Amino acid sequence: MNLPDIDLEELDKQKKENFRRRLDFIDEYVKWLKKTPNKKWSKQQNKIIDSVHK
Amino acid sequence: MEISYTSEYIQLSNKELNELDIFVKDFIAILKQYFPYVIISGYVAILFGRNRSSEDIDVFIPQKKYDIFKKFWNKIQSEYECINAGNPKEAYTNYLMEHIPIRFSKKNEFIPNFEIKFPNSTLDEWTIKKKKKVLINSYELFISPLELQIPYKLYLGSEKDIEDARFLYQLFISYLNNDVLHSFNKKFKTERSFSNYIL
Repeated sequence: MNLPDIDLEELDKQKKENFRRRLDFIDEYVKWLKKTPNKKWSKQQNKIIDSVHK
Repeated sequence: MEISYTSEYIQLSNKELNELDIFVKDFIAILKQYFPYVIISGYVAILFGRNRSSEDIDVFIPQKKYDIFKKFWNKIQSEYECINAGNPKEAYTNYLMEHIPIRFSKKNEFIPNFEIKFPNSTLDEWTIKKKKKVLINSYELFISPLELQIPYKLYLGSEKDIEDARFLYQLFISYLNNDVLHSFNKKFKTERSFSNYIL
């Protein structure tokens, strides 16, 4: 089987960029949380958590 | 987010509880009858809205005599089981006293589970002593002070931990005691991570 070449340097760069984007997303999410009633944000969060634990 | 933050407590009302919240609430209702406790894990971030789940809830309890632990063990057995120790003597002597955590899950389940340990350092003791009360709807929990939790997460250093640290810092930025926070950053040598990932 012919496998593709892997540019580890490029992958590492993408990994770091992806992590940075996730950190930026957290900031946006926190901004949204702060202005959203507890009942509403917790209901949305529960979809994620309950899908794991139910 | 409607939140009250005082030197005594953090209050969060009208939270719709998820399965993990209910698991924690029910287990703590029994644990607190026998031990003071402090929750130290990723659940702290999840409690306040971080969008991820967790397999385990890490808790410190102060070291107490075997008799008290045995009473707790006997009580908890009606609904939960210890995953890694078969009887209270083994759990106390071979695990807790050796600073190896014991894990409890709901009977016949594995995840989520509570990971319970005795403190093993002055830092652990400090965490129990300085625990922060959180009032959620009509119940209370005790968590690690956020000024410790954030640098500690940076010290752990995985992407997930750094994201938790950033989440907690951004959410509580206007309430945190920066002197304590930066002192812990010095102790954990996380000043550079703090500048790179949190600010």
